[in-house]
Amino acid sequence: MLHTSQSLESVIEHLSSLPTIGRKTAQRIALYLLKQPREEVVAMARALVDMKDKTAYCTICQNITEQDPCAICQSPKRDRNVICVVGEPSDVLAVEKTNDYHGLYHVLGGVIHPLDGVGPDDLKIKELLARIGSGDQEVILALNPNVEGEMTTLYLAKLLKPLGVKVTRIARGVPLGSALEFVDEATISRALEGRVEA
Amino acid sequence: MRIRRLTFQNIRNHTATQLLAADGVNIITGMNGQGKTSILEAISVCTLTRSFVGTQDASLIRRGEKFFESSVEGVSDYGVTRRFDVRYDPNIGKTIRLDGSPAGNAAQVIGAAPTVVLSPDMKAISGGGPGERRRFIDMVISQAKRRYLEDLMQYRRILKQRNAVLATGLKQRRPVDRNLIETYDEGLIERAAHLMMERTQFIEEFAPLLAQTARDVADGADHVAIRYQPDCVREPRTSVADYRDALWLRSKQVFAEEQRRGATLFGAHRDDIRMEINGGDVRVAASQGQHKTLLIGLKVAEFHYLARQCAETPIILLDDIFGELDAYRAERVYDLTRNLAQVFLTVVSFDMLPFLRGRNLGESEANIEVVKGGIVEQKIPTSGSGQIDNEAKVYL
Ligand SMILES: [Zn+2]
Repeated sequence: MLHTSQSLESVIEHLSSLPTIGRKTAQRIALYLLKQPREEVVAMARALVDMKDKTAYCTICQNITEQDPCAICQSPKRDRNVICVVGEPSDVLAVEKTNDYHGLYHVLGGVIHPLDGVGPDDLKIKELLARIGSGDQEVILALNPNVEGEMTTLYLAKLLKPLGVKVTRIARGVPLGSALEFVDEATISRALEGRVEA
Repeated sequence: MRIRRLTFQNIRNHTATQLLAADGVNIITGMNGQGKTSILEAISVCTLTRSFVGTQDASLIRRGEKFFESSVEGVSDYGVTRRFDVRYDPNIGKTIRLDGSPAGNAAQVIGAAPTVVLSPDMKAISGGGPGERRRFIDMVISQAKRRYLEDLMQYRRILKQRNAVLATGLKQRRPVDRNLIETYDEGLIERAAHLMMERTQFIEEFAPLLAQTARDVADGADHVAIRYQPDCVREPRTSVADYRDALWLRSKQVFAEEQRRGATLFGAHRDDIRMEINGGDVRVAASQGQHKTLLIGLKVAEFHYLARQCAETPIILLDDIFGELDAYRAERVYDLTRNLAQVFLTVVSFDMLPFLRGRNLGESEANIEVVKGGIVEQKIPTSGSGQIDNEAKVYL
């Protein structure tokens, strides 16, 4: 069903291209936005453009940031000898919410998924290996507990161990098949605490 | 397990159907295409989390509708009330609940109400390729052991990923990342070794059951044997570690060939299960009639195996098998299953159950007539179980 306004139709099209947003929801959001005051809509549009212009990937941990290195990588309170490896920036937020982890992060930008055409070279794995120095370091592999997360964990352990670094993976307190970002903080805390040699 | 009530929406040509089941045999009658089998599928959707007809979930949805759902309420052998709810919406996926709580995956539900399904297509178990026999034993063991189904689902996923690595290497004409392929080897072999050990144990327990039931069904005329033929080894091994070693060895031997072909050439997906009748391979030695009796033997053996492993009497679904059997065998199957468990069977008309002619339905038998995706009339004998409404009629 096409609307009588080309511009409205265009907004609906953009919105419905977003994850989990179907066409019906997109229509509802578009019509809602249409009813908002002009300033509100302008502020939202500007926020979107700002986000795109101002953010970049932290050259150290590959997380999304506005300053490079990011606040976590710069913080003197962080234990620089521990690196928690996660799939996505949202996983950093999930672990941060526990308030139990005080090391650094490394965001891979996904997991190995050959069926979807994602191989090791498509992830920030070289950048992770480059961070391993000669000191007393630990790398915690905290990927989602599904088959892809597990295979990526095994693969990274294979590359990291010869470098002489301590490699652990989070314990299986996280329910199988669930995504880290949807797991409650207490469960992530326990999983971090009970991490095992990878 | 006894099903008390089945409720479902938008499955095939049904809109909203409710059925109150009798404890014994539920005879579902109706012309072809009216929706008899869909009732069995609705049960299967709950207890096996999917239809036993090998179709995609989406193709079960009634035309023009956006989802289907099915609920089963039943009572376990120990008198505990159990409830299964499955809803499928292509946009959301499948939501499975057991006793009202969300189940993380199918493995948490399958086996709670073990279900034995018999349909004429299943003659492929004895007559078809190795894949048909693997599918059969996978479904049986999955109901008996949760870990098996989890390993199997993960195995299939890892296999697909490993094949993708090999296929990409082939297409791009470059050697695959050795670390990556070894990662998938580890994941694959760990699951394969467990699956193969479980299959070994299963066949050990199942073979004598099958020999017995096949003899019973064929009145002692046929000697039936079943043997497991795992990939990578000549004879079944006795431990997971043995299988693991054999798989590792084979993975190294076939790797060069795998790169040439772009596919995984070792593992549990290459197992076969050999079946013999009177000493010969069933695929060549069995007559059409023998395949039919063999299927009944397999299913009765499955029933006994599941009853023992799950400590719960399985539900029996007989889809349209009575047209395939002569009057003598039909009566044997009817009486045999009726004495074992709660049965749901589909049949075009009572003409196909001539042995019931001239006798009234017993206390625990019911007739459900289906017309155009709705139950027209449900007759349950008056002295039936108190929990079931008499003469429940559901009009649409
Ligand atoms: Zn950073």
